[in-house]
Order: sequence, then C-alpha cells, then structure tokens
Amino acid sequence: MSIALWQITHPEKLLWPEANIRKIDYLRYLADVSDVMLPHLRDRPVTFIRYPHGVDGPSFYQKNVPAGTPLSVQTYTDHSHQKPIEYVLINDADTLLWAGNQACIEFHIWFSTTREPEYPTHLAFDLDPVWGDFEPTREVAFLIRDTLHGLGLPSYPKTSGKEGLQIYIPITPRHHYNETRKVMQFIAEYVIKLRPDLITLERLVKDRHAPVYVDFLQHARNKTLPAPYSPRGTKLGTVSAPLSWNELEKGAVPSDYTISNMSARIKQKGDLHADLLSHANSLDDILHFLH
Amino acid sequence: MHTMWKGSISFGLVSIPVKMFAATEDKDVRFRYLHKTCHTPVKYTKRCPHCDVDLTEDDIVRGFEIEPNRFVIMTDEDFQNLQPKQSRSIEILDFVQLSEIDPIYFEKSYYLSPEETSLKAYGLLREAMENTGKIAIAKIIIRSSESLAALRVYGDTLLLATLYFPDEVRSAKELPFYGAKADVDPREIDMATALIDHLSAEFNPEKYTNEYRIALLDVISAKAAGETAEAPTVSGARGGNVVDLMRALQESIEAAKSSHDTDQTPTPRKPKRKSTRKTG
Repeated sequence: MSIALWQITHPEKLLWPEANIRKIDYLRYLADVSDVMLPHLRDRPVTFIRYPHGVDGPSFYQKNVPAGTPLSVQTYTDHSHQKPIEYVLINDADTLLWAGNQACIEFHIWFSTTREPEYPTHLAFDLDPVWGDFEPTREVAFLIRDTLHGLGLPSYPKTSGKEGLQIYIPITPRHHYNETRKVMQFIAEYVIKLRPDLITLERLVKDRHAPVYVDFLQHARNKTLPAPYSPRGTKLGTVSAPLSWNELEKGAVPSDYTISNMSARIKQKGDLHADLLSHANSLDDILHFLH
Repeated sequence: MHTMWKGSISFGLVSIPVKMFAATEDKDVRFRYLHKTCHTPVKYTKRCPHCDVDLTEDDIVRGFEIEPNRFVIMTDEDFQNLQPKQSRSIEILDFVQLSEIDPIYFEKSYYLSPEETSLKAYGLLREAMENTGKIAIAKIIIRSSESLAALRVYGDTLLLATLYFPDEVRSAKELPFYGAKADVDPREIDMATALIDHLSAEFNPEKYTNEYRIALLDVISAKAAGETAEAPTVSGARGGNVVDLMRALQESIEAAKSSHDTDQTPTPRKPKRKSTRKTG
C-alpha cells in the first residue's frame, strides 16, 4: 500500500475514440494486467510513446523522466551515450498507473535489465509483414521456432500489437550483446537461405522484396521492443499479446487481442510468457561452435 | 555574443553608451523543406502572376492594402523620413515597481553592457536602481520601429525587456464563458487549495525541460545514425554454407543432448562437436 502522490486527471478523456476507450477504462486495464505485466517490466528502462490527446492526436517518444514526476517513481540513469538519459523503471503498479495517467500508451523496454545492461535476458526476433496479410509472417514464425528447437532453444511468440509478431528466447544474462547478436544473425541468415521467397533482412523499406521482414539488428543496449501487454497507438486499442504456439497454429492474428478482451483472457490463461522469466538457456555451445 | 544594437541610455542630462545583446534564444528545431523525390532543398521564387515573370529584389516595392486590391505605395524615402530622430537611444521616461507590470506585457529580453567610456555612469545607474528597487520604463528604437521597454537590474547587469504597447494586448473579454461563475462547493475549494499547498515549491527553472524537443532530437539522431550505419551483410562471408553450418550445429547439439541423457556426463560433448564441425 502506497500513498498516491498523484491524481487521475481527465478520467473521461477518450484515448481510443473509435474503440470507445476512456482514460479510466485504460487505467482499469493496466490495473487488471499489472500482476502479469510488472514482472516483465521489472528493472528495465522504459521508452514511452505518449498520446496526450488520444491515439488520433499527435504522439511523441519519451525516454527521459518527465518534469513533475512523483518522487516515488524509480529511475535509472544510463550513461552509455554522450548525453545521459534518466529512464523510468516501472517496478510497481502505482508507477504503471501513473504512466497510464500521463497518456503513456506504449511501453517499450530493453532486452537487458539495469543489473547487467550489456547482457540481455532474451533474444528476440521481430517479424513484420512488408505487404499482404499475416499468413506469411505466421509461416516464418514456425520456421524460426523449428530452427530454434533444433538448437535446443525453446521460444515464445507474442503479437507486436500492430501487424507483426515477435519471438522471444530466454537466455542466461551472461552473453554480451556483441555475442548474442552473432547468434541472431546466424539464425536470420539461415532462415533467409531456406525461404528467400518469404523473408527479407533489408533494413531499408525500399529494398524489401519479400513479404516478411525479420529484424535481428535491433538487438542492443538502448534498443527496445513493446513490453508484453503494452497497448499500441492503434485505432482499435490492440495490445502486444503473449501467445502459445498452439494458438498461433490455430490461426490467432494480432487484431484478436485488445484492451477490452485481454483481462478476461489473462484470468483464463494466466501469463503465457511466465516461462520467459523463470527459464533461461545458455548460448555457450552455439557461440563456441560459431567461433 | 553578437552585438545587435549600439546606442545610449539617456537619463536626464546623462547619456550612457551601451551595447545590446539578445538575452534569450529560441531552441526550436528547424527543418528545411526538400523535394520529396530527390531531397534537394526547395528554392522559393517570387513571381508576378499578372505579368507572368520571375521577380528580383529591385522589382519589388511595399504597398499597404487600404481596401481590397487598392494599395498605397511606400518608398524607402517615406520610411526614412519617418525614422525617429533619436534612433540610437534608450530614453528613460519613468521609474516604477516591477510588480506593477503584468507579465503579459513582456516581449523579449536583452542584456545591456557598458562601453569602456561609460563604465562609471553605467555602474552608477545600476547601483541606484538596485538601491531603490525600481525599474525604468523607456522608449527604444530597434530596427526602425519604436518600442516600449522596461530597464531593470538583473544580477550584475542591466536588462532591457521590450514591452507590448497596451493596444497590442488583446482583451480577455472576447473569450467564450468570460468571467462565468462556477458553481463550486466550499469543500471542493478547500481540497483544491490543499492540493496547491501540497504541490507548492520554489521556482527552479532547471527542473523543466522541453520534452518534445529532446524526443525530436533523439529521433533525428537515431535516423542520422541509421543512415550511416552499415547495411547488414546478409550474403556475407558465410554465404552459401550457412545451411550446412546450421545443420552441423543442430546435429552436434542433438548429439550432445542424447549423450548427456545416456552418460549423465557432459564430457563427450567436445569431441562430438569437433568431429561434426568438419562437415561445415
């Protein structure tokens, strides 16, 4: 129990006008998911995307802790860049709700924690449809899952909350980003060799000539992906939803998961990414081989 | 700092030569407009739609529109004749209390520094103003237009703030619901007052940052880094044999796993891996 040092402002403001989601509904969502969401956010610097006037209005990225932040909010100052950045850490429900009240709609988090900022706790492939529907992305996801399985690595899918899909592989935080990137690149190079018709690794949009972009480059300190359960600034209030491979096989698509239906889903299924927090895999064998 | 004006403060019979410097700067992030397809900065041309020709500076005069499409032409000479006579002075009119001026009147601030010849007079005026706690209302000409200004002591220097003339400040009475009475409970006022007390702090400008600007510059620097970053080497050194390499690695890991399962010891892993690696 903490003393609230801030108050809910404009509870009736429509943050998602088309989906008819008011700020108070959004805060209720955050309160509902806080139990499953907070463990994933713990000690990870957050980049917010704020939509002060709702998702139809302008938005901006916010890394530095904003002025007027309650003292109860924990922060972490990152000195790895020329200009230090003081990030917010969301380690309790109060901070999560406070951020929600600031119209922080998207929560993007690091792959590493403040304890070992150079040593990620998971690998993550970011799959984005370049054109067409979700089906090619689904196919590429299974290809990556099977490749990882062959390497003895379990993986966990989650929707990006927009059109894409992300695949997480929990690892022991003992391998530097420079090492983990090699593993990711190796896997990416392998899958594109198998399915050049489906996959592109091109960073520049104009050079992408296949339906699914697999991003393995955005894997470094200060790089982020949307946190599990983070909403996105989409018209329908879709959220980044942890999935089971089984659900993906049965045809799950990113638009299935929204602020309005996630609470019931979590009550029924719990946190499908809970294993990410408790299981970790060593990359020693793979790295040894690659060297 | 760049001197933007030279002149003198005239105060009774005394004249104090000073230089003027901008005290504040705009930190807006500026963009250039480019042609979308080739990214060349856009060039603006002045054109007469009636004669259908491009114009140069010499072809252009200034006109005041007295009614639609009827202009009075103003020549350079007209402007010169208007130039106030003492165009290089800050003429002190009155001394008042700073608190008497509502902040709505303040426009832009400038530092005034003394010239070598005016060190004494400058110091005298500064000290006298500091002692009385008063500020001076003055008239000043900046870039051929007349301005009202407040001259005051700011730290160890004199600061001049240009003021809006009263007819430049719009009336709030034109606002919708101007002065409308709100129906509030005294308890609500108590609560709001308590909240203000709770949030009361000393004004510490360092605390406030322009978040939008910082975020914007972050995006720009990330994009700039991306533009120069090396493209991924997709078909790099490993090229064609990445498939073989993956198969070999998967086999070695599978073998390591099964030998681990049967022997309960991880020792045979190394030779296994070495032997499979040859295929890669």
